Amino acid sequence: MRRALLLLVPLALFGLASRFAGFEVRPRGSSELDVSTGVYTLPSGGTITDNRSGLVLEARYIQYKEGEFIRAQGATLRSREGDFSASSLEYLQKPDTLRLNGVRFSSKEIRGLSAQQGLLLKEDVLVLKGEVRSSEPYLEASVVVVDTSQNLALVLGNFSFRDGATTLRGNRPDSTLLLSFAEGRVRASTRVPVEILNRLRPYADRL
Amino acid sequence: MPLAIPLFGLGWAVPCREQPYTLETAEGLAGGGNLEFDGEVALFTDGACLETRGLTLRAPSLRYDQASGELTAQDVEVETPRYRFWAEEAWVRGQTLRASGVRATTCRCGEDLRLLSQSLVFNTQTGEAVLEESRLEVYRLGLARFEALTINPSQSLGESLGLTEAGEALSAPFRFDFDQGLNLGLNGFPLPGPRRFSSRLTLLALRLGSPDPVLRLGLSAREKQRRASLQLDVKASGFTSLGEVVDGPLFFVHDSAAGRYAFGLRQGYSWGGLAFTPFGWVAQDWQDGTPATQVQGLAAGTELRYTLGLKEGPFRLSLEPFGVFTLYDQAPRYLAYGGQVEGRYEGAFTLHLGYSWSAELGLGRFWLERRGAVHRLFGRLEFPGLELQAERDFLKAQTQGSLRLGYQQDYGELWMRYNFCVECVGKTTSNGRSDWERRELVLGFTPSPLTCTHELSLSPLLGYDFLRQGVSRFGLELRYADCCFVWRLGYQEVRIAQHPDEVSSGKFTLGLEIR
Repeated sequence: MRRALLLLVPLALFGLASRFAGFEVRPRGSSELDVSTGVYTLPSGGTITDNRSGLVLEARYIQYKEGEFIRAQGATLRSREGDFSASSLEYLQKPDTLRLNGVRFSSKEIRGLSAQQGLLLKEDVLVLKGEVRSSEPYLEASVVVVDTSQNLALVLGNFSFRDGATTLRGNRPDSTLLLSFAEGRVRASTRVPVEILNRLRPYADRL
Repeated sequence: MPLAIPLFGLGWAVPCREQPYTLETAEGLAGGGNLEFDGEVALFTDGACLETRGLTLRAPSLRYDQASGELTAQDVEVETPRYRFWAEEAWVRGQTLRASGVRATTCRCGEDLRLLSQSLVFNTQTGEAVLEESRLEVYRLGLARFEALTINPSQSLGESLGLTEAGEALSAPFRFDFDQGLNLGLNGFPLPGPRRFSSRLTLLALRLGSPDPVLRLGLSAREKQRRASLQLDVKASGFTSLGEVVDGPLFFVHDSAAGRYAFGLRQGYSWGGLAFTPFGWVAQDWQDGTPATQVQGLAAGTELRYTLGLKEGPFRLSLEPFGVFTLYDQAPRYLAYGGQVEGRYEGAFTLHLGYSWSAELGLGRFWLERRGAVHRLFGRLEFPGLELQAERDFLKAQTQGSLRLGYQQDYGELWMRYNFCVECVGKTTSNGRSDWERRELVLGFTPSPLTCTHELSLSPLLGYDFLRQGVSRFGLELRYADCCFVWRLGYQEVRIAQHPDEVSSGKFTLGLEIR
């Protein structure tokens, strides 16, 4: 169960995403500018680097408009914490959100984390939805909402979490599990305080 | 406590693995309606449970310490296929469940038959439970105390208590029937030992009202490799005794009425299908049952027996030759040899055919080594609803058998059985009494086993003797099932004895089965 703490690792990575305010672009091939909209298109993809955070976005196809959005397909985000990929990605600067499809993440600590959809919000909340899985530690869930500001993770729906010889399962579609991290320890409870449930559950509906 | 009964029924409705939250651990599957985990200890609440091989445990809450792997719970209910347990506190670690303040019952409802114990140790792998300092209660009446009672999941409670053998119904330890006179008293009344009911007491008045009443006193005891029994019949004409003491290979047996006494040893060894049994004894025997033919002396010898079994699909064949060779101090040697071959087909129907033959060289001095000459052919044919069995004894030149027809329904089986014995007049049977011809038809109904509580069934039978033109037997058994027992009350009267072992008499029977 202590390894549930690792759920916060990818969020630390996503937190860097909001720094794509000033970035450097290297097209792989041509770069096309639509002067009427100010949107750049990199049809052969390329690399976008945030020099302050060291975050690097590589993609097979990129569209972006400075100060507004970045859209990418076949995207990979590289950072010191690990590699993250998505079949498609959309970063909006206002509001500061990162929306992902076909999410995959791997690092030294956590392997093979994947979800059908991901959403990172300005308020440091990450939502993973649809066949959320990781192979090490082993996790299967329908929805995970992670709130790094409060060191909380809310698991909704059927879930299965294996740690060593023990496997914890929520067997009902309305199962809830709140993981909280404090002082290097993880606490898990299926009795989720109403105020936390009411605050975090709506994030799941935004995907 | 009355509140516990409906709660109990509701609690077991949901299997543990279908609880909202479950935790698979090395100790088993824990579950519950809610879970709290603080990084070291998981606490299941709202209908907590633990499911391991051989048992399901329920408690209001269940605590699992991840570091030590120990599960603890209070006010525990444990369910196994045969038993229900309650405990004030229980601990599970590895393959062992320990509990204190234990109650256990086999009853389907209530606790009219129960065991109370200070502590229990349950092996979750074998399902074997040892109840320490336990007390057996029936209808809240204390019957026995045991220091350490072992309850085996593959045995009924009757077997675990030492009251019955495997597959046997528990017979009432009282006798009240009429057979050449009134018979009444204690018959094999069980007496508790430290680990189970290990001895039995008999105190019977037999044939009261007849010219030859008997007072029978008996005591028997049994342990793993040891058993002892003594029965004393006191009559106006004197007394007779019957006894046996067996301790491993050593034994002493006697039957004063038959003039038989023996002290000796007998040890069996086996290698594959070969069984080798050397023996030796000093003995006395009345060879034809009267003191005039009394013989005494030493005997030593061996018995060899080989069992060969072949199986191919639905066909089975077994062959069992044997030989017994004995030397005496005052008589020529004795040799008995023979064997049996049996074939069996088990498919859409069952056919069983066998041939048995044995012969003797010399005279067997004592009953222990004597093997009578045999020459017989036997068989059985079974279809659903039909069973025919027959045996031809070539030495007695007689044929006997039976044909049984049954009509099975959900509520039970209606059946008829025709028993016959042809050319049996005057032929001596093994107990020395003469046989006679038989042509008997018996009609009966066997109800389906009682499965519900507070259920009643009746099982009648009626027999007719075609040779002597009259009702040969009739009987009726009433069975009643409550939460804990199946009670049997019956009466059977033999009006025309059909076999030398039978006498014309009426008999009440009272029986009891633990559910």
